[in-house]
Amino acid sequence: MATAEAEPLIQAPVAQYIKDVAEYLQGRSTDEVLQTMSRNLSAYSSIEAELLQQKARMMGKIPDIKKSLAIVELLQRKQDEGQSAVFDFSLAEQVYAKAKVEQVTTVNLWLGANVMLEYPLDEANNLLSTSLENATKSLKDINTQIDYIKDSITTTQVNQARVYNYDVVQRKNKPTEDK
Amino acid sequence: MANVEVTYADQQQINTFNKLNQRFRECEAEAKAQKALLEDLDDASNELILVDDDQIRFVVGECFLHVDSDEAESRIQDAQSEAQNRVTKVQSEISELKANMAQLKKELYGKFGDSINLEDE
Repeated sequence: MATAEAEPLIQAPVAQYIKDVAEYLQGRSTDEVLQTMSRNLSAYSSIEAELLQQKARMMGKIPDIKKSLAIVELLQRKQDEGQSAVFDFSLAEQVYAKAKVEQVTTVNLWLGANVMLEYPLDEANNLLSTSLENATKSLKDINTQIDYIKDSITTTQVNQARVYNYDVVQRKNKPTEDK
Repeated sequence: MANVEVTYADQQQINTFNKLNQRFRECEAEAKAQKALLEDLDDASNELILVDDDQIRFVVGECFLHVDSDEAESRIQDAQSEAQNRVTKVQSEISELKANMAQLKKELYGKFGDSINLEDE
């Protein structure tokens, strides 16, 4: 459902419901109106495509964060229990080595922009949990915006059909000269 | 739609229908993915019974954690119940969406008849 706070995020005029087609077309040419509508429609569609792309990106990001969080949580648990853990970890795509990991107190988090920072486990957990929360929230926001632009798309399509049908009826009713 | 006027309420209903339909397709994809995951987990737990080796490698993050078979079993069970919960949740959303869409279809087809098409292409 579209909500009020999602409105300013979209940089396009919202498609309006046409109450009375005859009144709406008063003093305008049908062709021009239809042209404007299809121009708006393609603008809405490209916004929608952009949003769908953002959504796909977010949906790819969330499992990555969850994976990182899972391993940090595991290290925390092992540390609390005072146990070591044995891993096979990837050296290259198909090459794995065995490592015994014990008393891990910090991990290095890749922050992006060529920066990696060392964090104590609990801080790393906090940071990852926060990014998971943020990613989930922006996914929700993107969905709201998609619903919102979808409304404009549907409304415009219905408007096109109504204007077009109105025009057909008008032409039928108008007696033509060559008859 | 040529001779039936589209009211504001109709327009809202059409918009709502479209959004529900989109969500419906997403939910179906999610349900399918979760069911596939459940099957994989079932396979994994069956394999686990057959394995003699007590050291199982279990994926955590990007690496394989060495665990004993008891822990591997409990980890698989956790993953199974999580996937099962998601399937149940998505399926209840699907049936809710279906009910709402059926209601809207009834009203819109009732008013517009053949002039409107609400089926998936």
